Amino acid sequence: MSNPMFKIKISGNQESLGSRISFSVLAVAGAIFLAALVVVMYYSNSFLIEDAKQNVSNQLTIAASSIDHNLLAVETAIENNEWLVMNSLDDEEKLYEITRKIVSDNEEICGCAIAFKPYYFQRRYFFSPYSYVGADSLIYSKQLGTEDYDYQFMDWFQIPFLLRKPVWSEPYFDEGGADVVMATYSYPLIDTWGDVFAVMTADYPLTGIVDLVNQIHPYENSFAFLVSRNGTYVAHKDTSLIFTHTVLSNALDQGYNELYEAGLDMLNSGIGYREMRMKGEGNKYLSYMPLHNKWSMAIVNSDMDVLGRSYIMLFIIIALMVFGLVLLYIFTRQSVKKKLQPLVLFTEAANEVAKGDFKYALPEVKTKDEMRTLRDSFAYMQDSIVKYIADLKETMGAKERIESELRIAADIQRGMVPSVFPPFPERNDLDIFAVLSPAKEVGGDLYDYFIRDNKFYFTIGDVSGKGVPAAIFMAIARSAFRYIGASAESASDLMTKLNDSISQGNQSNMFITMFAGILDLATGDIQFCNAGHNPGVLISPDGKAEYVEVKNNLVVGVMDGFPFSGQSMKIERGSTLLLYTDGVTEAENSVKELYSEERLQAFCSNNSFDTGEELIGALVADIKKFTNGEDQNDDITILTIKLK
Amino acid sequence: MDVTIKTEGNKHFVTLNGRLDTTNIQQFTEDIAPLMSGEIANIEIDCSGMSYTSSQGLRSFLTLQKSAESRGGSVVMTKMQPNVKQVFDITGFSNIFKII
Repeated sequence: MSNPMFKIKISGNQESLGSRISFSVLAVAGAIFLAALVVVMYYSNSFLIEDAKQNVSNQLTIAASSIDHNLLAVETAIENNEWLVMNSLDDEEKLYEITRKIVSDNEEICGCAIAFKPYYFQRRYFFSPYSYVGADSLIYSKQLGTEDYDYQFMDWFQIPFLLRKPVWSEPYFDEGGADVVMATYSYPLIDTWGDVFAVMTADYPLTGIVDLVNQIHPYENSFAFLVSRNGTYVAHKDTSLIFTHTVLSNALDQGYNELYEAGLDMLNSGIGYREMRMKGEGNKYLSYMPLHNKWSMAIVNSDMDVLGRSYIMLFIIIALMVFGLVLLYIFTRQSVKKKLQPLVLFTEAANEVAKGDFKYALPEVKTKDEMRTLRDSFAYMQDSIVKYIADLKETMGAKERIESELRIAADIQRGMVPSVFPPFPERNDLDIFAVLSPAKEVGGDLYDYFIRDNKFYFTIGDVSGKGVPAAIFMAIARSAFRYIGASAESASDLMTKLNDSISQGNQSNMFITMFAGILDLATGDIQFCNAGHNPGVLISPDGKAEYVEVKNNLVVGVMDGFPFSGQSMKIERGSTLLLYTDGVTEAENSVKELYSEERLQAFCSNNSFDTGEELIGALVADIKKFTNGEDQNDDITILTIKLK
Repeated sequence: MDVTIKTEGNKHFVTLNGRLDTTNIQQFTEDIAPLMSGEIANIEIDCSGMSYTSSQGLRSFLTLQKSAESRGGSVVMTKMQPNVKQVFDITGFSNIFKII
């Protein structure tokens, strides 16, 4: 019974069990790791963004104060000389001297003017002493106002003149001078009557500030920019924007609403931090802060810069996680495989048991777990099989003995009814034939007959129930019929004595239906007595079949002392009396129809046979045809008596 | 064969339904076992639902009747269907059972 396919299939399943468990563990661990990762990344990013905000804010503050410091230096240089100008209002040379001194003393100032209002200084229309640093780095002086350059209409003059307070000009590109971006600080001079009579100015190159702004670089892709009071770009990494765009126009061009909002706030000297969604560039963070002259500077950080470290961390964590999960998978798989190792041995044991080696040694299991339980169950199964097989062998033996005994009993029972035909070969006036076909090996039907004093004594009977008890009862009845028949005077006498004999001591309440008769072979007279049995069929020489009219009396074996009454009739030579048990009329086909007394009578009427043997053979064949293979559920017994 | 037993006063009322044959005789014997003992020995059997009885069925009724009579009671069978009555007649059981 070696079956290699079986083994291969088992070990295949075990492999997949290990993998399945490992994958399950992996899936759960992976899910937990991922969830943890998401949380960690979320907080990490929040911290980094907050950190960046703080960092940028600090850098912005430092840069702004540095620029403010430069601007203040310029303002202070002018304001410190105000009294000197006031005291030199009648001295032209002195005024030139002052402007020269301011330029030479303050290297961040590259030009200085004192522009008087028309007709104020010595009734001159223009008077504006002006000193400046030339291309050769020497200081030159000149009178600024000319008919071509009427400074009283210039912003740097007009605005502080009208506002009566100091003003920084919008940045401008000094094309005539050193080709640098400059801004001018204008300071109004006010007389004792409160009128503005002149404006002092300092030209301040913004090169330093622009450099400073461009050097701000908190992250790799960060940059800073500076806008003037009206938003014009003064410094920006994209130099094409400088002087050509304002922060608002740029925002409108690019369609950045957040930048526009931020721009408005910057023009309003606001301080802020904004996140901006940029098309295709990730998010950017804009921090801005005003300078003291109401310009505004800002630092732009990109998402990638701020969160870059976070992404590196993410990469490292994922790499570690994948490595960890692979280790976990290998470990789990090996572990499960090792734990399931006994299963391979159990499989081997099961195969050996299947081959018939019921005592095959099982693998040792030292752990107190399910594997141990399996081993115990397996061992229990082995024990049970061994015991069961022993029991089975014993039972089989007992069954064989019983069957053998039943076969012997059946032989004995068959021997109790006459089975040699013709039974009376010396007589040519009597044709007897019979069959007894038990439903089980032994049955409860009987027939018997003998001749005494030229009279033919006969009986047929059917014990209630089947099997061995019925067979024993049948044997008792048959013996009693022979014993009592030897001296009985009449059929009723025979039946009454038979009943008394059987009823006495019948504890089982079994009974037997019987028909017994005595046929006078010389005359054809029949005395008979029926004890609850089916009436026989009398077939006349002309083929007509009629049931015999019977008194039923009572079945035999039920009531001691019951007086059976007999009947008599006369039959012609050539007539046949057919006696049967209810196995004939109650033979069933597959739709639970009975063969029935009507069918039996019709069969007897419609067919004619010379001998009882032919009649019975044809009748049994007809019953078999009717039941069509259905199991015979009752004994079938037929006895024919033909008087010739 | 369905057997229902109701007890009222000093009488068991038994109702039978179906065929009584070789296939269910064992079950029937167990079903009526409670009627075979105890003080109440008067038994009335409603046979209107019984469509057939084998000779083993007759034996069971006989055993029941003997048990009842030994305890001073009796068995009465009622509303028997004609074909069942015929069996009782043929076997002569009509003579020893009270059938109404």
